[in-house]
Amino acid sequence: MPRQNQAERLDGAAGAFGAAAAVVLVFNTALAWLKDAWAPLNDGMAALTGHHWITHGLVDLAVFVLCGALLWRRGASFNGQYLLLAVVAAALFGGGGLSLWFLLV
Amino acid sequence: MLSLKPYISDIVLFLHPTFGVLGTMAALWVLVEALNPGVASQHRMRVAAIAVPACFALAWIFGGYWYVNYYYADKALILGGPWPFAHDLFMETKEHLFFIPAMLALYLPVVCARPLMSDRAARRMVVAVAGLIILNSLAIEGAGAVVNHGAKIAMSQVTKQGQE
Repeated sequence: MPRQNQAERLDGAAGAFGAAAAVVLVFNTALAWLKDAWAPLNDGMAALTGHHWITHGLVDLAVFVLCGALLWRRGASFNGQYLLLAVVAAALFGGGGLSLWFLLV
Repeated sequence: MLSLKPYISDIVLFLHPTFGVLGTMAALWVLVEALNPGVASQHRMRVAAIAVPACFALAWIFGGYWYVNYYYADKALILGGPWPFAHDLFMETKEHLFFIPAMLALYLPVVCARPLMSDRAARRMVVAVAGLIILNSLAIEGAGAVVNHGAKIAMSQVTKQGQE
């Protein structure tokens, strides 16, 4: 059923930036863990813009835009269901990972 | 003439959740339109989808400005009060969790640009992304209320000690 399969795919900007969103949600949590565990990184990020949180947001934004633009330019196409699962899983991992980290550490 | 200068901190603080709530309501609007896609709803949904990142950007700017310039005083108060976890757990989580709906908000208009009546994959993605934005935003609003209460009861304690 090639027509159905085609309809289930996400390509173009919707696919590329969807994948970029999944990547940045995981990256955001990993960066929060890393800078909370390793003070020199936190201090370095604070020195860059005046506050670690400002740098964190700008880095997230840059990862999202660059990753999405790169995938878009390469003509990436994704299975819609898998990409949807990736975004939902990344959001659950991101939110749960942050809550548990600050609860336990 | 009334000077706003002494109230700048409060105004900025109130603008942050105001735009957060407006962005959440716009995401709910997108979700409802995506559940019932049609020719007329496509335009409305795209307008709402642009309002979501616009509101989140403003919530980010106002919240960030207040957090960077004014929060240190509340933080010290909360950490010395009966609810230090209001900062250690709720504020620390909230300030990083915020980036999740913010990034998803940036993605929403991109996927809403697809014709949702014929593109099932895009429609499912819009529903999921709008739903995630709403759930995360509600959690962040709740965390903000806990931080606010942590500061309030710490201040009550200081006032009580002062009276004794």
